[in-house]
Order: sequence, then structure tokens, then C-alpha cells
Amino acid sequence: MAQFILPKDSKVTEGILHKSKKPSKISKKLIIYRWDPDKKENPRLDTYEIDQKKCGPMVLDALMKIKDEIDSTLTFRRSCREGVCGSCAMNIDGINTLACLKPINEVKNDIKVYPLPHMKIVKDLVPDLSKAYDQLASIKPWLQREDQDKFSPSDNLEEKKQSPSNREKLDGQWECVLCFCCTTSCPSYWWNEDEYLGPAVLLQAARWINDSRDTQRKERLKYINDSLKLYRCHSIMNCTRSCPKGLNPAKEIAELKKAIVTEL
Amino acid sequence: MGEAACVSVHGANRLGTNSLIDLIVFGKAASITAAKKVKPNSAKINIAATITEKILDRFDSIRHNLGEFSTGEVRNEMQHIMQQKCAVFRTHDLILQGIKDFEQLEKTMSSINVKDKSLIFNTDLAETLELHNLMAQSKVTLYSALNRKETRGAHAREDFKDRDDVNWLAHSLVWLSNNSEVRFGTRPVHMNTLTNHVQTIPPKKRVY
Repeated sequence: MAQFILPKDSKVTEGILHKSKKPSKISKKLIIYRWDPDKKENPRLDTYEIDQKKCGPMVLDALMKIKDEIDSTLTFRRSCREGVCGSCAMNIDGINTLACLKPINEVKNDIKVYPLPHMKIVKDLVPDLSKAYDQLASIKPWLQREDQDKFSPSDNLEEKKQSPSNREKLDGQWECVLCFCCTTSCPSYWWNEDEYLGPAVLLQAARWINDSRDTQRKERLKYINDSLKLYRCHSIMNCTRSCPKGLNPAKEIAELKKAIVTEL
Repeated sequence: MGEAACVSVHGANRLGTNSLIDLIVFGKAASITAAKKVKPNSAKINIAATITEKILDRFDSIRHNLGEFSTGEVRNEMQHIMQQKCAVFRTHDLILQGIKDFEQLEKTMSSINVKDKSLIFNTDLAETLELHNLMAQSKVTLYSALNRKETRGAHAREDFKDRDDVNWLAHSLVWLSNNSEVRFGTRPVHMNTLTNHVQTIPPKKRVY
């Protein structure tokens, strides 16, 4: 029978309060989801007090300050700290976003930080994205040419050129950094993560389908033309709302549906 | 050593992120060679236990080290020294002061406490291993900056304001021994192109 209550070990408990050691002028509290796979304990919410005067402007700066100065066991992914790598995707103040692009001052009260929703958690704020990456690989996110097999890698191949107007067709798609904020905000993906590709992967599919240098447009459209892979999108638009890069995956998915109707 | 490697695709310069060409050109070359050399399902090569034990010993000693310092503290201090004493514009005295400060800091490395002992996604441990590499990198950077008595590119020695092609038209090579001693060498610069597509351009004074 279906289980409608949370299993005991997934209830989030109250955690440790790390008080600021020195009195601070502008104090800010971060309430952060912690879960250690090595301990057989429920997830907990730890509270950290930081002095905003001595911290950079973004939530990621606060997380790094906590890791460097208060609690080095706090675990999260981060790399570029400027919104181009997509590593620090997490749920901040109720919305999926990149910690490096989210100003601390945009959050009025205490800052609640959770991992991306509905994913298996590896540790603390680190979700297991392997399934999403497998789905990405399934749409073959690389340039495909009908003639590519005729050449050996050592042949002197000419570069594949693209006109500025054809290049413009990829605007709104190439900027995606694959942080999966959109995919993990989508209720449809929460329910059908095994089959539905999700907005991030469909946006990537669009990026290759619309590439004038790629010769497999039809095959690519055929591959995603599937009631589960594509049509689990019900235009809920959470993806567009959460995208930290300001992209519109919902619109690109609608364009894909249109292309399938008119071209296949 | 990773980001600090220079195989002269960009001449002697690797500022910003032009390592992309290294990734693309050498990544592709390496994959083609690997595909030729490695047969699928072939047996693994046996590596002598003396080699693997040395690696694991280092790993365990860093992981279980006890002490009063955290990785973040030491790293911040190192960044501060490098930024203040070994920035683009530098002098002999300034770099020497940097080396002094650095050698004080180096001593704290044996007292870094990795709080997270886990073997699952342990970023505390990963950052500590990285810090060991960063410290080695900082040390050779400080010493080579002191050693090169000229100004070239982003190495602006205010006590040697000009480029010195007679004595310093060479790549700096640096060795860091296990007991943390620095030894220098040089390697000549390839002055000619490998094909005739582009003619060789002799070096000349850079003026603006």
C-alpha cells in the first residue's frame, strides 16, 4: 500500500546552533540542512551566525565563510563563484538557485538552505545528479554530422562554420550551465524522474536540435517525441521561475513540441 | 602541476583561462593515444606495493592529522602573503619578506586538523590535499620570482624594470625536494615555428 507519511529516518530534526564568537554589527543567521551518510542519524538543521560586515555579498560567500571559519565539515559543491559552472545549485529561501548569484540581502529573515529538492542526497547540500547526467547523455549533447564516420581523427577537417543569424537561433539555450535548478523544481520531474527528461535536458536537446551545423535534427526530434520523455511537461513553469541564468526552458520545450507537430 | 603547467602552447604565458587550448588539443591527442594503447577488458597493470603504500601513507597522515589549525585559516593566510608580497609588481625586498612569512606559515601545515574523517564526498579533506599542492606551488612561485632578475610580462620587478633577453630569455624550471628545498634550472625557449605557415618573429621590445 502506498505510504503517505514520511519514513521515520527522513524527518528533519533541529541541529546545532553555532553562535557567533565575537559580537557582530550586522548578524545574519543561516539555517542549513545537514546529513552525514556515515552516521545513522536523521537529517538536521544547523544554525550558523555570521557577521555580515566580514563576509562577501552572496550566499556562497557566507557558506565558504562558515566552512573556513566555523565548521569545516559543512559540505557543498562550488567552483567558479560567478554563475558559470553551475556547481553551487541549492534551495535557498525556498527557491532553487545558484548560491553564488543569490545576494544575502535579498533574503529578509534567516536564510534557509536546503539541497536541490527531490534528489537523493550524497551528503549535506550535495545531491546525487548521476541520473540527470545519464539523461543528458541520452540526448547526445554533441555535434553530429552524417559524414563524420567517413573521416579518421587524423584527417585535416575543416571547421564547421555558422552564420551570425544561425548562431542567434541558439540564444537562450547555449547559456545553460546545467545546474539542474529547473529540473529539480519541476513537480512533473519529481513524479516521473525515471522517464521524463526534465527541463534542463530538454533545453540541451533544443540547443542541438536548433544548431545549423548539426545534421541529425529529425532524429533528435524523433528521439524526444515520447509521451514520457517530453510530454510530461505540463507548462507548470517552475523551471522558468527558478532559472538563475534567466532562461526560459518552458518556452523552448513548447518550441520543441511545435517543431515535432510541423516537421515529423 | 595542473594549472601551473606550461608546455608552451601559449608561449610562456598562461594568464586568465587560456588553458582551454591545452584541454582541447592535448585532451584529444591523449584520448586518441589512449584508445590505441589500452585494449578493452585487458588486465590491470600491477603497481608495486611500495609505490601505493607511499601514496596511502600520505593520504592517511593528512586525513588523521591532529592540530590547532584549520585548512581555511592557513589557506587565507597563504593567499594574503601571495597577494601582498608576490603580486604582479614586486621587488627583491618584498619577495624576501614574503618568503620569510611563508616559511613561518609552512610550519603550521603539520598542525592542520581535518575535522571531517568521512570517505564520502569529503570536501574538508579534498581542500586540505589541495592546500598541500597550493603551498608547494606558492613556494616555487616566490622563489622563482626572487630568482628572475628582470621584468617580463606579468612578472614586473620594480628593481629590474627592463626585460633582459641576454640572461633571461629562458623558461624557469624549479624543483621542490621532499624536505622542501628549492633548486633552479632553465630550459631554452623554442624561437622558431615548426612549420612554414607562419614566419618566425624575432623578439623585440614591447612598447605602447
